[in-house]
Amino acid sequence: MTVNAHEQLSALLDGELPDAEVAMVVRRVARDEELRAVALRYSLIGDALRDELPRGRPADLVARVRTQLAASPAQAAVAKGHGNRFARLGAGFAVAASVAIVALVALPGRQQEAPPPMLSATEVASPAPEQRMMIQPAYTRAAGGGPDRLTRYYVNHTEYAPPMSGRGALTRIIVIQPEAAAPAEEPPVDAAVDTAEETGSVR
Amino acid sequence: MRPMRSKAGLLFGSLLWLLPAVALADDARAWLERMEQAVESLSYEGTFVHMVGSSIETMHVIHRAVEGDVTERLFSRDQPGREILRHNDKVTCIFADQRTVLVERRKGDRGAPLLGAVPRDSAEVEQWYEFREAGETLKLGRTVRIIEVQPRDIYRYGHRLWLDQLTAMPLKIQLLDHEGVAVEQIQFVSLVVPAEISDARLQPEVEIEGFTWLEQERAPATVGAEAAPARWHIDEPPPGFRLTEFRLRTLPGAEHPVEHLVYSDGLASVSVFVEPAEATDQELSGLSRMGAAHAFTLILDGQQITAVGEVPPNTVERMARSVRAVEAPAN
Repeated sequence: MTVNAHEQLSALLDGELPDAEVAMVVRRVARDEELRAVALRYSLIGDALRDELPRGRPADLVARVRTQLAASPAQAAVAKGHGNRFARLGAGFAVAASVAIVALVALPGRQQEAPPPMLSATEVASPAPEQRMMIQPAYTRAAGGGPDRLTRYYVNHTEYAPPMSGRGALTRIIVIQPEAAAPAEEPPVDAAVDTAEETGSVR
Repeated sequence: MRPMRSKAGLLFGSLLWLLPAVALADDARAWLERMEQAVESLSYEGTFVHMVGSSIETMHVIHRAVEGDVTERLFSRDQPGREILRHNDKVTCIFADQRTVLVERRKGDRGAPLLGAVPRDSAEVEQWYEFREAGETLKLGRTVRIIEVQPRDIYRYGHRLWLDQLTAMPLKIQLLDHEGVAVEQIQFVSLVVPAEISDARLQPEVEIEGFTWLEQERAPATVGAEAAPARWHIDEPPPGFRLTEFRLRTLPGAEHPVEHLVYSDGLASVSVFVEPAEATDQELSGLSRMGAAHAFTLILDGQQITAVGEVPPNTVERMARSVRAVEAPAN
């Protein structure tokens, strides 16, 4: 699974994936067991944040999603292992304009140990045009490796790396694996994915 | 009296006209303050995707706050073995691949949350940044407020934050260059606020038996040192950056103390480190990048000078190049 797949999945969950890519990602999720696991792990939480989830509603929601799944011919196809049906499911998704996969899981007051895996299509608002994230070339070189001086500086500065984000802590995580060692590109799975990856953009 | 009244009326009119903009900036700041409060005082657990440069990583954060006692755990979902734990001001970094554990103490009693905080002195900061609300949208199926912090020049980055309407938790954060292109992005793909988080959830999964522990010495090194004046300063920092802190400290894993000066514009910070250069240091010279941070290193009078910060490359370069020795006071 490529980082790109993660990223597309994330965009899909967020309803920000362009229509043209939705079918492809859904197809990919359908085919790729690992990616499916990731999708489920990405327990989408919307309503589950405290104070917004009236007691009793989760059960309804779960029931509703179950019903949807049961009613989906594509779902039956999965059970039988007919992968090509997913193409149809994918097309359906694409038509539905903006789509999010909803993995219903964590509920307040309960640990998310063994969430019931389920997928559902939910309409969300049309994605606002967002900033594209530029993939920068690694600069001169990546600092890091052993805790050389420069790395220590980066790590130490994080105490002051202030506001607005987890950058302070995140820098530390990144320190452990310098960027030079990072590019873990996998060969593209199919032509469609290939095209998407060439755009090199993140939403 | 008449002219007075019309003057007052004019003044009042212009105030009214100004009011919405001021109110918007205040609202934006109020939202950021709510966010700061939320990320520290709520208990939450979530997975987020962190993107910077060419790297994309899925991370997981667990944050528990019980009556002011804060415990936090941050780890990579993609690459097991990297964990950061925080208990109030004590930060423990586990580097499994280097079999190293780094323990540090943060400033203050409580330390800072691993996710986000807002600067205290935000009045002055408006000289360098514009704060505004930029509408609302949906994230994770929830209504979020978009808050933008735009730099007024090229020496600092901007921010765009999507804050949950109800809790003010940041569901998405971007760091933007002056053209509005995101240089870093954090986006939650899941977030829960559970009623309870067990101790077990806050334990590292990495087996740290036999690792090398590097622990930052607490007070002794800094107490006396903080009184000592800095021997270096920055001649011409980029506009708005002021010296906010100076320390002489021995970093964990280092052999001798380093002078550490912190310059801040109220939002962005740049650390400047000065220590005697070693033979191999020449190769560190120049610009480098780690995550969203840039560093610029040069050697001056046998000292290695490095400026590091989450700022554009021109800012660290300008700072490093304008470091000068403080002249001894004439007697």
